[in-house]
Amino acid sequence: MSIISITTPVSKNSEIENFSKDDEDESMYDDAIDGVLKKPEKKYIGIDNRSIVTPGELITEDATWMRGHGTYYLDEHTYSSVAGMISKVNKLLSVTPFKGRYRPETGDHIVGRVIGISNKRWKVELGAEHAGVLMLGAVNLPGGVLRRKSDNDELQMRAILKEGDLLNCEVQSTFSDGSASLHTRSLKYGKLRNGMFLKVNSSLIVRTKNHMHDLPGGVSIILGVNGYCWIFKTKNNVENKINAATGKAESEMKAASSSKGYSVGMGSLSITRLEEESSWEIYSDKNDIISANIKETISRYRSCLVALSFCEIAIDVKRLVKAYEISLGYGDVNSLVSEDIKKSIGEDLINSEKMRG
Amino acid sequence: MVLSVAESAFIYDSLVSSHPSRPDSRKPTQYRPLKANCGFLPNSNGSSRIYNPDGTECISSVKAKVIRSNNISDLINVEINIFGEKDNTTLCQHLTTLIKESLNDSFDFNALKLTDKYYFQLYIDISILYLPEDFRYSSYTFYSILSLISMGVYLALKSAKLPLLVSDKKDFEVEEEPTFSDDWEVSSYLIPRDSISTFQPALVFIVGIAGNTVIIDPSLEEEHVLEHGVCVTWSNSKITTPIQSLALSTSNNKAIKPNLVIKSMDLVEQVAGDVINALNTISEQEIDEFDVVF
Repeated sequence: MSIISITTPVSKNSEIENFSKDDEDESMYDDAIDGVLKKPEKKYIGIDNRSIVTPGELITEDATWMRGHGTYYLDEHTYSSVAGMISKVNKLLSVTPFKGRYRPETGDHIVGRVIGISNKRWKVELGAEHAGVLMLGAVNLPGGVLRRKSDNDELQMRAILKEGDLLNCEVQSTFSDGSASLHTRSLKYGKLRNGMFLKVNSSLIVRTKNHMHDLPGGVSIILGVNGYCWIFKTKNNVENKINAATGKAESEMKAASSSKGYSVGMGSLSITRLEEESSWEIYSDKNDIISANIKETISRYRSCLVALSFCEIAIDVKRLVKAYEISLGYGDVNSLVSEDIKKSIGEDLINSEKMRG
Repeated sequence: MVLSVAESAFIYDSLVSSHPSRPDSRKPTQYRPLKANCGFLPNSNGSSRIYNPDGTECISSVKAKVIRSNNISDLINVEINIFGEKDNTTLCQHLTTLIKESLNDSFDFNALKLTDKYYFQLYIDISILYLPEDFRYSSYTFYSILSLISMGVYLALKSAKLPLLVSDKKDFEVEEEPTFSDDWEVSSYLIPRDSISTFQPALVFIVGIAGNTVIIDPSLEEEHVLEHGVCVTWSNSKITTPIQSLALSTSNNKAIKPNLVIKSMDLVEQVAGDVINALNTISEQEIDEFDVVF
């Protein structure tokens, strides 16, 4: 396998040109030229069944439509402001873009990165137009007791989450400007450890019921709806217990030293599962011991995700597992870096899906 | 890009383990796939465009001018322009001197000699068109783009063509200005392609060091956890100066062990041949249409 690959870029247009030259004969070419020469007539929604529009394209001259996202209004005409598909609900007309920044919706399971701490809240980068907001009241506090948040908690927000930390959370509500309020008030949400982060385009992630999956090979993945993915070692309950004992003690010590007198839940006996699992350990920065095998599996899954996003194939867990199986046929994990192999993984995947029907 | 503690610990542990594995699953000696082509700027003698998958893009051009001088040190002029960075920052100046000096050391100035009095003077302009957003407001220094810049310069020089001289070469006693043939078909390459008189302009390699592991072409995530960086220059099939230690990021710097410098030089020796071959293949491809590049 070569160490370096340098290739000349291929413009996408030339590929298409060659393709069309093969398929079309002369007369069709003439038709195409006629089409260009003729002044395009104005098209109206409801009459034309074409539903893909480009920015600036006239959608309708009918003023009775309500204008939704992705449209603008000029001289009683409605135009598209993005490239995408027209969607109509009753009299509401909107254009859903093919690509673009992630737009949060209530209930989305997402992965974010803390970028700042301000008054009782964390600012979380989501890949959206605005940073999301995670209120102090919307996290599980260490100790697990459900209680009011005190001034003391406010002072030690950095002990819970600090800049750069990754967390998985859910969109609690959205504001009118498109920013999101988040929460992690469930045991499946919280700080992320033991793994690797990868960003893909959010439009590639298929929305499903569940976004956290255990994959073959002892690895789990969170496919955030916003395109942020986290691949990590599957939590092992038996192992967790052992680690919990050491991890808990350690992190409590650290927390105690950083803030004297903070004692809620520290060293106390836990009664419920919530209490047990939301000890300081859930905010620990220490990774578990991860074997080289698991690490390789993680990086193979990562390469598969990169390959899927390179081929612009929508990503769900079934495809990812399939891509993983295909990638095993290409041998060593570092061969997956090359673009040809990424492409052929994508092609193999599409072919195998066609075969299944 | 700020990484979380757990994330950077994971990457660091994978790098320093006995079987180092990199976040993007490359081998320690493996480069990211690059895209490049050259000779596409119609109004320059040689040009190149090179970019890597994270979007860092570098365009270089070589222009030649005839001057009457025999001061060899000012025959090569380098100017680097980095997107979003002022020209007079220490970084730009440092990169400029580094590239210029390394070229001066490796250049065969006979290729620039026209007549007894006249020389070609080269103006090498380098422009970094885009840097990933993560570069800004974080602990990264820009030194990792040095490797891309030097590859761009190499390609531009390799593709540079000079017009054919039609006047007399020996003008020591006659007062005559050199004249050139109008025909570009008879122009010759600045760096001759035959094996006897050819030479390699210097190529700068960036090596990252973490623990006892040395890696070539560190990615942004890796730079965040690397303890040190070394730049090693390679020209005419051997390692030359400058060999310098560079801080690739300010987040996790530590002192460097001397044996790791030796190790990174070995690493460069391993990969240099392949890199040169790959670059030469690109520079020898002919471009018939100028807009094919984009």
